[in-house]
Amino acid sequence: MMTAAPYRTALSGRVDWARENLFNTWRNSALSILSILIGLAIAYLLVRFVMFQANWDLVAINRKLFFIGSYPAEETFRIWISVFTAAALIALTYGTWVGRLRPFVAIIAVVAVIGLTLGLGAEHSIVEYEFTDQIESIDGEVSVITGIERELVADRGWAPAWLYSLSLGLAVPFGSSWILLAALFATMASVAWAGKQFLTRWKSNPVLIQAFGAAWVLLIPFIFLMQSGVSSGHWESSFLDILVFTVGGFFSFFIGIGLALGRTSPFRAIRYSSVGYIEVVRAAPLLVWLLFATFLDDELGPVGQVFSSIDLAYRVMIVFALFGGAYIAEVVRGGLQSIPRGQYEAADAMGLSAVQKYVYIILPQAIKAVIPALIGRFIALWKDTALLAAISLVNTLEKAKKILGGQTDIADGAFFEIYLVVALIYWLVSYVLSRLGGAAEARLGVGRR
Amino acid sequence: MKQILQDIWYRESSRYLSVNLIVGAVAAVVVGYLVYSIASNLFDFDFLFGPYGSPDRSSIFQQLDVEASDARWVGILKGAGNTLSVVFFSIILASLLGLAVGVARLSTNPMVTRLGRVYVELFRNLPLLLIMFFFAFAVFREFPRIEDRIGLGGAFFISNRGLAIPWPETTHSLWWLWLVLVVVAAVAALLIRRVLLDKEERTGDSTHANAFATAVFLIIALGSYGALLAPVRVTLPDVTQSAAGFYGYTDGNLLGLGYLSALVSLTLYFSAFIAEIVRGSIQAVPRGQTEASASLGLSAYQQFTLIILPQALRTMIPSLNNEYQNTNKDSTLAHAIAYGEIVLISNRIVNNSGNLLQTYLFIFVVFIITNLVISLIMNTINRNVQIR
Repeated sequence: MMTAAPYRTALSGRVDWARENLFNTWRNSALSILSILIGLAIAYLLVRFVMFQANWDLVAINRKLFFIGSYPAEETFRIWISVFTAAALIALTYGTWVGRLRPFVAIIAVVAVIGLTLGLGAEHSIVEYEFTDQIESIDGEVSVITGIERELVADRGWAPAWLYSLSLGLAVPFGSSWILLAALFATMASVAWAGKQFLTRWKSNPVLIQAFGAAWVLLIPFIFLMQSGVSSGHWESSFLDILVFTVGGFFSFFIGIGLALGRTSPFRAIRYSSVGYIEVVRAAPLLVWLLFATFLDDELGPVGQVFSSIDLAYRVMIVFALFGGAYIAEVVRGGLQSIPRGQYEAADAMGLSAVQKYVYIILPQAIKAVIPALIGRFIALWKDTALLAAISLVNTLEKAKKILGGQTDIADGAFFEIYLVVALIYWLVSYVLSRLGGAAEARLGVGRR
Repeated sequence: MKQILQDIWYRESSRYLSVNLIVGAVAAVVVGYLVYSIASNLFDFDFLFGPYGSPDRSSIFQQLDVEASDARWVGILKGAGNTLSVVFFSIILASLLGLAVGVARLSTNPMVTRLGRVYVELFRNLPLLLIMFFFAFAVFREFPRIEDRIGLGGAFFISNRGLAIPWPETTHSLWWLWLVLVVVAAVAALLIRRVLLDKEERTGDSTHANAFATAVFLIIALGSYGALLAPVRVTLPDVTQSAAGFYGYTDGNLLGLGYLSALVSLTLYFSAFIAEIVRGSIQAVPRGQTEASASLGLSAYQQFTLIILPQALRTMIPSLNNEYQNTNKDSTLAHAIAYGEIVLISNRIVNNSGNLLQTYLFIFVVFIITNLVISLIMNTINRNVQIR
């Protein structure tokens, strides 16, 4: 005789799951309740702060400062062109190689619709008015003082204040118009679509692959050249962080590969010089190298003089490239050591030249093997851009400090709001990088043979 | 000409010789240039004996506070001491916290796992300097003034000046003798324990080795404490109001905002990395070990502490070594929140004396030495936990 299986609904399934996993023993139940309480407390504090306590107008008003700092307003087209180029290339790559357009377009559409509707009929401004006041000194003398008082005036559309201000602050970075942002989304969607329609079928075409590679390699020099029209003294905030990270990371990648090859070179002199360079650079913290590059005047003779005559922002990029290169070299070396000797011998047997052997056979496999560690190094490099605040450059972190210190009339005591937004900017980029790394790993089949 | 170059390149021995010669010559020129330009300044070390100039009193040890009259070399040494005093405690706290979070991430309870994951993802993806600024300029500034301090059981006080904690104080100048005797007691106790355990293994009779060793240690330590007339005593912090109406802490020790922010941020940041290392190494222990220890009838706690953790330590320690060295190097960021560690002190000296290369050479040497020491300690531990 068969007993009837117990009747299960979606809800009772969940209840069963909770009973089996969360409340199976009394100790487990206590742990579950404790961690649920901790989670709820954190969520409650966060929601209460974000929705009711925080003054997000401060973020919305300072959005230009947060993202591009004192970049001249009439030159922002340079940033927009760079952003459009990068976005188009990303979309083209996505459309051609990944091809699943629906989630991609859906995300863009949702962000665009929310952003655009939130922005309708809303305005932020600071009203300045003169005030006069009388003060009486201790000995009874009365003096009249005048000054400028600033007040924040916000006229929000339909959205709740916190949502509006936050999304304005984060979604319209450069203090520019919503139309440009909409154009950016439209460009990305259409380029991704075009990539899928026209380029996917030529994916195995070597010319196309090389063109793609060249476009990606040229992207960062292009962005860099776009900025050279503006004095590096105006590079500030997140823009500076991103510029230092991309340029420094770009060059450190190639320096790292060069050093890793040097470290495994058959020529003893090359090997020892590479090892010496890597060990010396890694011995001291990045901050010490950055401070050294900041303070260096004519101590190192003519070389020091030439170096110190370069703008500080460029010097910092050089330090990032040289420092990051030493660490990336160690990662790539690990990859090189994982390549079986047979690969070298097979390449030699095919009659490939030394350059061809490394470019087509060895390096692609070596780098593929160490993608997780490589992504880790780039995330560390991105986080290291925060260190610019410790030398005299104004990055996002330093800008936050300046806003808190300089706008005491409207930013009084708004430490948590400002630092939360800065944390969000740094965290999001790191998190996206680590996700990209995971996706690349899965796609290239790291760990699978 | 072309013929000569081809001859050199295609004959193996001449190729190696020529490439080594050329690259070696270039490297020698670069290194020689550096050494020459450093050496032309470097033989001038007189500035080290000048006065430091302005006081820097952010250390947790009174003896390590840099005074204006100190010589500059004394300042550098004290700065190195301040670096060590924050690195040492951060490493200990981060290891404990990291172990807890790493184990939590492997819990069978999905809620605990999730909480651990959020913790790791949060702190691993934030810059350390941001965490330091957040604590130094946002969190600790929001604490009440000293008049409205928060007391914790009378032994701790929290205010916007920092955390006041109980602190040992020496009562007479022979206190170090007691410290020596405590070390002697510890060595003696360990020796007795080893001898008794050997006997226990030979005869099979229980010798109560741990109890004996503890008793020996306590008798020597406490006996000498009494014999030396209580050379060290712990004082509780207290708040007094001066005649002018200003409040201040007396007794105990005040951990200033700089030290506290540095300690808390280094601990939180590196505990996230250590948690990942702990998780990875525990996962690397084969499942059969857990099953075998369960079938022996060990409790879950015994399984973890006696079987899993000792084996996980083998894969853990090389990565921990790396992470501890990073903690040591990243402690330099604390100079941005005005904690008087070596970089802050050195920068003051550079500003006052203008001797950049010499001063930075000391930072370099200090970090090479401290990282070597960390490496040596970790490698010694590593040798002891490996299978022999």
